[in-house]
Amino acid sequence: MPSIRAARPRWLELVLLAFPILLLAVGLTTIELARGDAPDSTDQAQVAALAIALFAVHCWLTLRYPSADQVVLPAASMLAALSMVMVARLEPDLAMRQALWVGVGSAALLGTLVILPGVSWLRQYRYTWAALGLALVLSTFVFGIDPNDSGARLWLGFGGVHFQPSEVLKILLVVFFAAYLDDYRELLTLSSVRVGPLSLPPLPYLTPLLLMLALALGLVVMQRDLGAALLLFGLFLAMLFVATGRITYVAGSLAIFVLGADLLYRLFSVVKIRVETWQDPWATASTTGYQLVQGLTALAAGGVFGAGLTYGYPEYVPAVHTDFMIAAIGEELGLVGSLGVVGLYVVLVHRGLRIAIQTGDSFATLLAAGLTSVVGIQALVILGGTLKLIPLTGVTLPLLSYGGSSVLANYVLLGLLLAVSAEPKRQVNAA
Amino acid sequence: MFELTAEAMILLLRLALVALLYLFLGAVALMASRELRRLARSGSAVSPAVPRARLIVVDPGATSLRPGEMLPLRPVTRLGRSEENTIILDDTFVSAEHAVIVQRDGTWWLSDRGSTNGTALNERQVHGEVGLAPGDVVAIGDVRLKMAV
Repeated sequence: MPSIRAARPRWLELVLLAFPILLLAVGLTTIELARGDAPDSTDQAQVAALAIALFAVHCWLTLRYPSADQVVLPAASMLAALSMVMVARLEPDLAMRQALWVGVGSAALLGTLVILPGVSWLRQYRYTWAALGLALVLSTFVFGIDPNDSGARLWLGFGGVHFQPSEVLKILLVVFFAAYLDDYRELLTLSSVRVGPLSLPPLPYLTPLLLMLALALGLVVMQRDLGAALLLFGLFLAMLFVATGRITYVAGSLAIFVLGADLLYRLFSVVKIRVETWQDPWATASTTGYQLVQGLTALAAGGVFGAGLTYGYPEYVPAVHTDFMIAAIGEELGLVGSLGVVGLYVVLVHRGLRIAIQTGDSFATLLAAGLTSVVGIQALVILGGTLKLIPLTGVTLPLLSYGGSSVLANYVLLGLLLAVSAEPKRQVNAA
Repeated sequence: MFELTAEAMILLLRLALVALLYLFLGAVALMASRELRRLARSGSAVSPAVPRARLIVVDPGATSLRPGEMLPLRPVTRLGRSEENTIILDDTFVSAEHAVIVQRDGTWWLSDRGSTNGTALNERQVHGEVGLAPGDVVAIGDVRLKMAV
């Protein structure tokens, strides 16, 4: 248990946290200068807000969790700072709101660390979390709204604030999968049913897991939230592999995925349109392929070094401040900037998996690996979609996209990851 | 007098933004490589603590055990129906003192203690002492236990 005594300074974190604050200051100043505006007091407010939020989290970690990972927070903050710069560039009216969300997110991160009585507390309520996640998604069927005409009612709204339950579902599912797989991992690695040359996994023990996955996938697919479906399935595969270490499970699940994708392609016109758009966006460049074509054009226009902040025309790309953020970054900061963003995700995933390996408890390992997979897979799904490497499915770019529920969910996720990293480490063999 | 034009200033700021991004990545990479080198020098990678041998309940039979439950192995682990055993198997097909697993020379050895219904290792009846390897399945009555370290 963390305790307040002889706080060990977290110098590395403190030094690294200077980068996102400087980045935000430099980015906002560039925008002001390029626009020819007088220096705006909201700029200083934003920089101050970020600095205060980060410093508060840093202090709390130093006091209560001195052994927590020191790179996760700075790396995530770099993405948050870049997000604030890009939102200020693309949607100046939303800039203060995004700054506010980053502040609220940091508070949620702190809240997660303060409230959570220990990582193992989460596993006691595994079915509660699973039920809660499903209930939230189910409620969008009844109360769902579509505030930005995306064609899918994925949001819940109260008091002018919109909230996307699938963002919460992913975290709750990680907790459920981690608890369930940890309970049954030994049984899952044991093949008990043999059918001819195939050894099937012990099906009775897999059923609750598969049922849960099927329910979650069914719900998000019924809502046409294909990005979330892809993310949840990828998450399931990653966690199953981490728990069992069996490549046959992954191969089997991929085969099921191919069959399922084929079925969806036949059943839903949305899927068919997405695949056709992916194969040839230029054929429908003015209708269904419009977003993808505009995104690719923006990226091409940026070249290696980019046009520079405010010198490009990313406003032609639909949803550029949310799902298509990388198109704007590619156009104005160039390949150099986009690769830097990919580098930040690599750092986050690397630290996350390191935390997973180092922790002493198998539930915590699965939890950290799952949370890390969420960030990594989500980034891959949307980056791949924007770059026309895979069919485009809409998910937010973790920590970069504008949006309250996305920012909030990702900060809670980071809080959980930091909590795992502060758990007792696995003993290192000295002799 | 040299004065920065707005254009030059913007260019500098653009460079500064990208520089910050890559300096950050460089700093993290440098730290990670230092950490790896330190680990390599100390000659110890992160590895599990002392391997803890255990039996995992595959099939609890009629006992109150739970599938997947882990039963740690002691240097001498007695299995049976009576309360004196290390692992108590409350199943009518299990004898009061059914089997024993002992640790010797870094190996775990299983032997039957003259039980009525016998003990099996990987579906083969156990006579005398047999070595246990991870993944082996011990059958006592209807109970199936898998060895793991």
